[in-house]
Amino acid sequence: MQNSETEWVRKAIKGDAQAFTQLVELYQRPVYNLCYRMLGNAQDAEDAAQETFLRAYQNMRRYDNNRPFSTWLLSIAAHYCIDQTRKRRYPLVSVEELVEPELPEPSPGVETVVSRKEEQQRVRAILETLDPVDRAAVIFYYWYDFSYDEICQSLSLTLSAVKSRLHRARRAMAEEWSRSQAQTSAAPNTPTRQEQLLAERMAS
Amino acid sequence: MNHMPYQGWIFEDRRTLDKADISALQSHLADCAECSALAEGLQQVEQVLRAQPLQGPTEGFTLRWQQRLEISRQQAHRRQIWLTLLVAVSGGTVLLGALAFLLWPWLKSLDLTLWAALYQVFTAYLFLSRAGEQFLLALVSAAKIIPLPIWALSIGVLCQLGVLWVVSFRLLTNPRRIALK
Ligand SMILES: [Zn+2]
Repeated sequence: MQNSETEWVRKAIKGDAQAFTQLVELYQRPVYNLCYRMLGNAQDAEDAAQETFLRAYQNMRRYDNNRPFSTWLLSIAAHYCIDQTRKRRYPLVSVEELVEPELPEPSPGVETVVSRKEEQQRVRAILETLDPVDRAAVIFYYWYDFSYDEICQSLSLTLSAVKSRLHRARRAMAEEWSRSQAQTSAAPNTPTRQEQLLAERMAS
Repeated sequence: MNHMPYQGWIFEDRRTLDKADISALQSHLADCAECSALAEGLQQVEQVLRAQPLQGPTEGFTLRWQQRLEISRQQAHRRQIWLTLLVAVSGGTVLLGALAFLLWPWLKSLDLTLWAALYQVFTAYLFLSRAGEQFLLALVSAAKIIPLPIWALSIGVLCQLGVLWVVSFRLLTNPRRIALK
């Protein structure tokens, strides 16, 4: 796999679109996941992932062979998503996604699926509270197991900046998590945002 | 209670703390509810984050990318055409402007320029017709002086020279066959 990847990268640098398509096939998932975690919804994530691959293809000549291709690609995605997040000023979670009917799988049980869905929404809400650059650092650290050095390279930051950003982000996430946990335990029968929205729809 | 160094350490990468710091932090966490709540919150959130799977795009992502690449290529092509047109039109406009600026004195008095040109043409015509008359006069007087056999001889020699020139020119300009072996 590594050999064929090197070969595809080499060909793609020379402008071979077919070879680059193989790279798209190989890296679509990690790139999409980064965009999804950064932007919070499927539509924007698809758009950002497509744009990332387009930019990478157009800038293949600037790619430095000494660096892993995946790091370079994810760095393009992160910078694009940071820009997009700064441009827009509306919340990450779209109403369509909140009311999206999620059919529970029979095996893990309805409650498990609901709690997993809730957990995902809490993760999204927590990421939303972070500054876009901090969010990218957190995603690289927890989803991609990037080292501090790799995060420095990918986000064009110094080592001390990465450390202080991760420190700040961890604190914000822990506080937010504890707060939401306290709210849930204090009012166990309080409907979730999703349930509220569904109730409003039913009523209208 | 003073939480100062401990709250910093909680959010630090544990691998960067030394043993003394870690044991001090642990004893503080055992006593301090506020810091231990924060540490627990972080632990839970880190667990949840690491447990989240990689989200993938819907089926056909690569195909959609190929279509997008094609659209972007067409747009780039169109942009290039417009750019070329723009450069050509603006270059032409600048050149015409420069030319108008250079020729402005003549353009300002166009009728005078035309009259001057006409005068030049007329003078040249007069000069050529006079030269032609002189040449004919010389020829007529030479015909009277030179006897007929010499005329015939010189015309014959001129014809031979003409034939020689044509033949040698053909020979020089004909493509030569060069054998490959
Ligand atoms: Zn404390």
